[in-house]
Amino acid sequence: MENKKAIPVTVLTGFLGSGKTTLLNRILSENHGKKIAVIENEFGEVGVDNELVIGADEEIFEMNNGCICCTVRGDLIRILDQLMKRKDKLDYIIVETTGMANPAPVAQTFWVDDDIKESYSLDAIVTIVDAKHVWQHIDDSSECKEQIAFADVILLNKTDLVTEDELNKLEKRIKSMNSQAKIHRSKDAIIDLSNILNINAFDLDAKVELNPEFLIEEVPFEWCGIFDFENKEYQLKTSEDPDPSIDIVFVAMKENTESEITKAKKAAIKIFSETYKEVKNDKFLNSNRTLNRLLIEDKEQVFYFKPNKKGCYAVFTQHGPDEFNMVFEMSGENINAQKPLIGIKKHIIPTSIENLKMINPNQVNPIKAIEYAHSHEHDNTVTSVGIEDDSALSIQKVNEWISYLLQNRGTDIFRMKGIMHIDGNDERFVFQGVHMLFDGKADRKWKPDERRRNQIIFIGKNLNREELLSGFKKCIVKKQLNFA
Amino acid sequence: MIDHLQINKTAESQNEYELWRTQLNDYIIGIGWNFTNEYVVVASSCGILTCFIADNYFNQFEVKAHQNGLMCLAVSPIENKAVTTGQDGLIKLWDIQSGELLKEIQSENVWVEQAIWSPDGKYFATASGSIVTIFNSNGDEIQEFEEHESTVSGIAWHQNSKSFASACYGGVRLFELKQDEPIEFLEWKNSMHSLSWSPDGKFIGCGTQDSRVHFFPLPYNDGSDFEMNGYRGKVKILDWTNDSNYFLTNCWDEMVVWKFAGIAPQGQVPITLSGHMGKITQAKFQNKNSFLVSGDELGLVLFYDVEIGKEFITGIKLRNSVSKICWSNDDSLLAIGTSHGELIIMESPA
Repeated sequence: MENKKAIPVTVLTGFLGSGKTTLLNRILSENHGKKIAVIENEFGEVGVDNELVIGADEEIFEMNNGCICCTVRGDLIRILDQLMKRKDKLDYIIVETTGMANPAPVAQTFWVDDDIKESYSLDAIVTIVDAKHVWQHIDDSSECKEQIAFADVILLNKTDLVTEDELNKLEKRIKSMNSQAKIHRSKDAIIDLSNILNINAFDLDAKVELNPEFLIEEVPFEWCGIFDFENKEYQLKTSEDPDPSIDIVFVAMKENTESEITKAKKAAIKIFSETYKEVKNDKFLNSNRTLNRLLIEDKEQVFYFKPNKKGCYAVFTQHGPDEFNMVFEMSGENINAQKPLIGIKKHIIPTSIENLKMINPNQVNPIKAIEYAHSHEHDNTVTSVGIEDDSALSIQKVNEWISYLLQNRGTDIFRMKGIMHIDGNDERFVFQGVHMLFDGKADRKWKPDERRRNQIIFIGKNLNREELLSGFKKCIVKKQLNFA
Repeated sequence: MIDHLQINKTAESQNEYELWRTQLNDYIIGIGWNFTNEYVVVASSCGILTCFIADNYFNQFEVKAHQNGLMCLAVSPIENKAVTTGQDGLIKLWDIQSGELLKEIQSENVWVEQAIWSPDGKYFATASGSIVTIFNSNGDEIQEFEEHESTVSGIAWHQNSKSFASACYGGVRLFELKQDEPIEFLEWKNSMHSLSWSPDGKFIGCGTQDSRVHFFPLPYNDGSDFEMNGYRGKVKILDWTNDSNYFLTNCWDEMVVWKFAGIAPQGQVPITLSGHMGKITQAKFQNKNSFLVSGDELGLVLFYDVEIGKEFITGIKLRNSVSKICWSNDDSLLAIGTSHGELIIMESPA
């Protein structure tokens, strides 16, 4: 009987000059005792004298009528097939792609081709990013975006060429595109190989755990202010109109603590996906748990609100308040008037508490301000959309939803993965997909004390969060009340 | 010449037809018989080329032919010569009586994946990347064809030895020696990973990436090509009987044989040969008859008579996946190699 253990394959992507070759040389020369073959498209780059460095001409072909998921790498199929023809199997394969390569055909090769599927397992897509020069490509190059979006692991290399602030900014930008990738920093591609090899990112049998913070980086609002409001009337003023409207949600909190803010944020995510209520100039908005859509014109506008009770409120706004010159003021008598700090700029709510530099006597400032990453809804850039919810799902509805997504959104969804809580099933349902290819199965049992929940992440372009969320919600089993 | 080494014959032959068996270094990737059926030449994927005297299991020579993996072995049908190609980018011409290297040619690409002699033995063709090169039997380059848009996945000679076909992504090209351009391009937008030309010259069949067999009838008219589909897995085995009446294909653990007899078999029910428990890895008709042998990934070797449509002797069980099968030119002997280097020489049970 043949040994059927699949050989793991890591796909290494990254622009020319990002450090792929340095990393490959490091992998090949490190004393790990493993027989590793490298298939590279830019042959001759790897300096290590190694008979298992194989040059390949990238041959991308479509198997069926231009269907994107059937686009595979013919050269890989041939080479991997040939590499199986040895008594002692290889321990590991690394496929290096050209700087301008889209990783999808490489990944899809391991899903589509039966022979390859049988003998090899795609371990992970690792993308090396030149921390200094990536900014030249990150906004304009679809290949650069795709390489980041497809990655399971991102190595921010050449960190010595940039400042800590620049690195943090880059990391934030990358997380807004791909919230699931594990990000490591390196200089000269020095990285513990256990961080990039044998990750099991595509293995449904491996422990499937999504990054629990994936929602933090992808929310439908950009700003949250924590306010202490009285049970009195307030005004919300705007004087700029970069967009025709801005959505705003108030969530009452018991107290100003981190756990209460987290709760409020989760509530706000849900409320932001609900039907909005339009509010025109000079009208009242709802100050608790309602999605208010303020209609903005290019003039100073006033909206009113009156909290139901005195206390702590989290106010979530779709965009940063400075974009609309948004300011909260007490109506009527100035009760909580504060002394101006430095009157540089009028009528601007500080976007973070550290930047508190101004004041107008009637203005009510937040006691805490939080900025969130831009959600980039409805635009053509690459983003992640995460869904987290405890509701039990109907397997039939999930099938319908996923089928719809694969058929209609498969081109734009680069990758998806997740864990689902299926109604009536004691096992977790785990799944993942690349474009229109999907693989899912029942995983381990939920533990007795474990919170049964759904965690789903989509990474791709033109992602419409509302549509994805609405599709998800239709899968939720409606519990019927039984009367004895 | 390397010293003669005696190969141990197993204490007990596995079946009444077995002559001898031996253990080689690595995956057996190629086997060929010389034109007199005196020598059997065996290539291991680790790069070693070995030649045995078939009837007394003496090692004629053993040589490290390629530094990296050996990819292809082709033995001349008229002379004691063999060609090997490797992952080192080399094409080597050998004297298989002495083990002497007659010629070494460096190809432009790294891997040389194909080598095949013309039926008359005057030429051999190699494919490396997208280039097909024709050499005479002395290893002198005659012609080079660079027409292909991707790596050539198969070469097949016409029986007249004057023309050949090459397959790559997008279709099949027909070439005639001494003409620089292909005489015909049989276009089909798919990846062709295997290629076979019927001995009567009337059909070219290709295994495609989407688990079908695509046929081009010759002479070709636009739209006259047809396909066989419904296969489980890619069709890598394509073989014709010498009279072109039967066409053999693999379908996971079964073999599907189409009856052609000069006409396309659309609408016919093929002959299905079962008995294997694992995926079939090798299958070959005899050179002159419709008997065939097949081997699978579990090491089971079975024999069939297509005319009867079933097995005609009990099969043989080997320890590892069958990696190569080759009948001697006169069909009297059979060599079987495995993925772990086991080599079995047996008399034909047919």
